[in-house]
Amino acid sequence: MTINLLHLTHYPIYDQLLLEEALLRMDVRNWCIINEGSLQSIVMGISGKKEELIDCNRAARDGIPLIKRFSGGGTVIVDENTLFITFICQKEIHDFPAYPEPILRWHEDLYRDVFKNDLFHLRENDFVIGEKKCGGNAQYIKKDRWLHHTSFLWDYNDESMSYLLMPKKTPHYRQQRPHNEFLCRLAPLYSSKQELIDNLKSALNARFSLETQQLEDVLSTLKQPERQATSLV
Amino acid sequence: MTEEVVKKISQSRTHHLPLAVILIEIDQFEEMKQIFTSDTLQEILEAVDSLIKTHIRKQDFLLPQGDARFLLILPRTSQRAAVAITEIIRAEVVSHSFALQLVPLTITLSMGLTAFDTDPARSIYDEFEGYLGKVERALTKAKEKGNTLIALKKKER
Repeated sequence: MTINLLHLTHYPIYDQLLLEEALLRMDVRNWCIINEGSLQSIVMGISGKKEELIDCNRAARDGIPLIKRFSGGGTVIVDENTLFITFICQKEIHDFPAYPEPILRWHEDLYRDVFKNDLFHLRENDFVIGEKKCGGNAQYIKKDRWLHHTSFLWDYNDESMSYLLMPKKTPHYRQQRPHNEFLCRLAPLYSSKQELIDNLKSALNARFSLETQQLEDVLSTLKQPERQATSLV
Repeated sequence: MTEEVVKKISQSRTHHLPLAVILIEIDQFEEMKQIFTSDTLQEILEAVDSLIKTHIRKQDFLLPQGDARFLLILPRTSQRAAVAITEIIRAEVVSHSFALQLVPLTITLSMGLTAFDTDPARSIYDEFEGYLGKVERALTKAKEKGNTLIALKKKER
């Protein structure tokens, strides 16, 4: 089974989400998209209410773009230190049912080979190392295809986190912890992002036939008419 | 340096008794800070402190130094005996099952060790500073060689 690998660097998250949505809706191939960082942006899930989730005045004053993505999940502030990894797959290539939990478990299994750390695991809907969150997940499941994207915190700016308000609904394991007690930076734990990316490619090579694609070759997908739910707010 | 430590070193000096000093550091504590909450880190420190204390005598001193380090002072202890104690402590900590949420955690220690025949000709403070410098260098050596090691600073006069 083939997975097409698209490796991007500092590709704006808004453009990435448009591309992912197009590849989900208009393409039939299987994809792994890696993006090493983006312009600073705040990304909400499709049903998020910005007034409840974001310090809107401050974000507007500082010119931080607000994006509503096509998938569900929580709100994140992303920047050049976020590592984005997305899988878009035909349901038929996997032997598990295409429901949220099995999809999450498949990713957990894959990422165990990437992080190579016994303390890495899935907790509720998040990836954690030890007690702290290192990656957030969101999904979109359609009839014959699913998408699962993860934002890993290679590093983060404490001050930037204050653009985000404490959401009404938080994972149980968070236990009202502030960001600095809840989030885990990967940078002090690994030598480089490249180490993780190399591990990911090895893990994928062990499971699939991997074919590298170039951005220019997939941008044509964006030109095809499609429903587009990702939007700037 | 606490009064009790001064007293013990003085006694060793007066009676020309050996004294061992061990600097213990929890390996990879900086990484642990990234992945565990402050409460958990405190629990780990307290558990290690408690585990070490189960293997030392009443006359020994365990002094937390911050940054996941502990200074262990063993009066009337030769280098050979001190090495045996460090091996026991290290084995105890490695085999201990730390009761953290969901995940099992194995903790290892690195140690720098030195043992002396105390020298009444030197000031007690100079002598103690000398011990600290030597165990610090021994610990650095242990960590350079790889964690979970015990490095010795040879007995000197």
